[in-house]
Amino acid sequence: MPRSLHFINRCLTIALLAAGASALSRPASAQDVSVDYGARQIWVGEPTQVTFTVNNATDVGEPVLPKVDGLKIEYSGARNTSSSITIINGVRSESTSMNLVIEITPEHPGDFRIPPIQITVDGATLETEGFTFKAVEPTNDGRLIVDVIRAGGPVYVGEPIDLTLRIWIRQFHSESYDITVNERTTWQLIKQSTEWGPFEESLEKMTRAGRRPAGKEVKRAEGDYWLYEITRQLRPSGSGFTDDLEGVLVRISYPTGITESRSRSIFRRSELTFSGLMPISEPALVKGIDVKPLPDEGRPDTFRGAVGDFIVRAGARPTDVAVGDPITLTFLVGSVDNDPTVLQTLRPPPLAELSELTDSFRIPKDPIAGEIEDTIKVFTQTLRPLNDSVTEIPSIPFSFFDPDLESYRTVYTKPIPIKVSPAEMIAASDIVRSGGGASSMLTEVDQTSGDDDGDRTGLQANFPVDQRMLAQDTITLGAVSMTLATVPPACFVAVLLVAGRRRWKNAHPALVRANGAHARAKTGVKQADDVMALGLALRGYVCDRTGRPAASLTSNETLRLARQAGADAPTIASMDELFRAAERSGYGGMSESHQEHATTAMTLLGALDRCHWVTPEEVDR
Amino acid sequence: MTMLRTLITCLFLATMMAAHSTASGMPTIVLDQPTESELIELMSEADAAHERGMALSTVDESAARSAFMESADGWQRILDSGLQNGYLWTNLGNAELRAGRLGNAVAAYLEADRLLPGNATVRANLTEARNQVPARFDPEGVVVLYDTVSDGWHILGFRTRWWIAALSWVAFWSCLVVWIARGRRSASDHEGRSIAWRGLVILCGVIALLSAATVSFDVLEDTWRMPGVLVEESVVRSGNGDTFKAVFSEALPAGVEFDLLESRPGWHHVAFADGRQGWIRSDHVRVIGS
Repeated sequence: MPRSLHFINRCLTIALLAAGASALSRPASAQDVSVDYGARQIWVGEPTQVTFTVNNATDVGEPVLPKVDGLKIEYSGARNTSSSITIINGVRSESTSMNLVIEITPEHPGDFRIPPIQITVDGATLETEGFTFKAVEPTNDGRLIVDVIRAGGPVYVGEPIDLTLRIWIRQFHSESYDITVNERTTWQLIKQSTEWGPFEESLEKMTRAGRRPAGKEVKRAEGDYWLYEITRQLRPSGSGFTDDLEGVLVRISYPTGITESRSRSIFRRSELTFSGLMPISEPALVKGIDVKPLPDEGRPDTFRGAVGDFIVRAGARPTDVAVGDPITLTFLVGSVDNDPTVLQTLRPPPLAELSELTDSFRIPKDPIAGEIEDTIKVFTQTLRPLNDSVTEIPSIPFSFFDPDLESYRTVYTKPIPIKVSPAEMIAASDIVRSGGGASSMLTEVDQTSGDDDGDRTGLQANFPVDQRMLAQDTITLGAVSMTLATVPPACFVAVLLVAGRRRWKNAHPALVRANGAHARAKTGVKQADDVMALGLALRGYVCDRTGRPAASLTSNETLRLARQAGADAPTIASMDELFRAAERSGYGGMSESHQEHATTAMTLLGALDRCHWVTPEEVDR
Repeated sequence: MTMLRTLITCLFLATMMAAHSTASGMPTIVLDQPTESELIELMSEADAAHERGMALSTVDESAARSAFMESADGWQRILDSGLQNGYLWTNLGNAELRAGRLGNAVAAYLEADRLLPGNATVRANLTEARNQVPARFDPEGVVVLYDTVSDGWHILGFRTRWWIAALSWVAFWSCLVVWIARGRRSASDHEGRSIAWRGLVILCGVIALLSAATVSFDVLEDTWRMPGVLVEESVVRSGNGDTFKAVFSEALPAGVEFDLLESRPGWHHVAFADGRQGWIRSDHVRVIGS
């Protein structure tokens, strides 16, 4: 590589490094605030927006709104918050943007000045410049005319009428460009905030069908107009009907001028736009709608508000039933004028109040809802024949007001023959007592409950909230009750046993003594200090078993009684040996082995227990 | 004699301890349930809703009904927590009745009457609710006789009669022991004193048997009879299915009472007060004490 090229290459590398370093060390961006004040001329009652755009801020406070007489200034909040990240040549930069919107609505015409508005951005307080504008009162001057009309004379309440909402908008013509705004664009000038009242439904139907009212060119004395018409059929339900119509309020933005501007498309073509729009609103003028109330004269009892011309039919299924069986009655009302709208509010005849029916049938009193099928409304009700003498469902009347004849009319269904057989099952009327029925049944109910004091006092108040309510009530006999039932008799039996045993002991002292002989002798043997005491213990044993006084026996008498009781020879010999040793010990003063004789005495007690001792009572018996 | 006195004392002590454990066991709240203060608060809220309904009943019927339904829901929540007594059921019945849910009201009063048999307030309100039921079966047969007789002993509450039975039972056996002991020991006592002892023993025994019998009947009735109430209008059918023929010519209204005979999935076989029987959908009824 030549030396000069090598130098250039080096310089380029250094320059690129320097440029990269400067880009990396540059701050991402700086905070700034810009303000868009909007138009300098605005309309009274029409809000205009002032937008503050805050860039690259993390903490933005609400603007401090000034108070200006004649202006309503409100903060609408932050809108269109956006952020973007840009990487160019490996350098990453980030920016954010936030729009704060203030709405200003003039309350009267005049020139106004808005003082500077303060905004806190990232702890720093920024202040906009003050600005001025002019508020102008919009004037209609025949630009917009609205009315509601109907053809024909007065109508009765409930009678259908066709209404037309007419909107005239004066054609806007620009002398400068010599053009007239067409009817399509003029329709688009109508604001969405327009209150359409009863015509909203018609307009929605058209919108759903992708249509709109077509504008007709009409000449009036005030000039040329586009006329838009919206129709709707309604049934006045009362005198407040016209109030709804007068609630219609049309709002438009009427152009004040046309200007030429460049489009935003890539071709930057020239196009015409409105230079200004004036808000105009106009309520509907209601013309020639006279709603008359239905006459009271000649109104049938069965009239339920139907207005128009109707025919009725009735059907029943099944027609062969037993007493009490349900029969489904189908009652059809058709509009002679083929007008389905009249059916929507149509009510059925009062079947449960018709004596012709209630005399023969049980009919629920609940209101029934009908179903509309094309131009017919179908009502169904369940009838139950009360007895087997019923032969038909009688004619059912349906009354309505005929506006053509201006009088009430009543039409009837044809009687429907039915066959009613006696009930196979129990009729409810036989067993069910009606609370609201005949007095005799009521009397029966009262008699049933007449024993109760509460019947006379009616419903009694709630129990107060207290500790009683925390009690856990149960209707059971648990272990406690079982214990209580068994313990007293058991104790009684125990007492009886103890007392009986005591009485038995008192009655048989010799036997009690004989039974305790072994225990006492054994105790005497264990406690004996010498051989003589052992001899006394053995003699005491024989005394106890034979019922003789204690220590009343000699050694020989003791041996004799033992022999009589069946003691064997070795036992007798051992006893004799023990007694002799005891005498030697007591009288001779000879000392003998006490332990050896004690063992012998215990053995002897065991042998003597097996003998058959005879008590004095047994001897006597 | 000393031994006798000791035994009698032990007998009394055992009885009192048993009775005390029963009595103290009754108001005990089951663990894992709301505390007493929480329950009192819930009750106060339900009662306040009822009072609000009463105040609104002459002004705004719909608002009053909502308040009564709120009160009923409150009482029901307390009962669902496991606490059961006749006072709660009565207050629930009052709220249900005023909210227009007649079947639920009758059911609540029957629950209250079961736990507080013979309580005058419960009976009054039950009668009031029954009189609002548009249909009723006339009772007949043994049931009428039993109900008439049991109304007599239900003048006293179940717990009162339980205590009377317990105390008179213990007194009977204690007197018997003393009487026997004294009779054997002191034959020379006056004849009049002996007759008095005998009378006391007989009196205690009769009271104990009668009160224990009434208590036992109440318990047996609770297990033997399974009363129920229709909480919705329902068609009574001859079998356990919608395809079976209707027994009565029209649906029976909510509030009609019956005795449950048998249960099968989705259906109850029931008998009405006059002895007639039929099948009712189980989701239309409420069985008392279930």
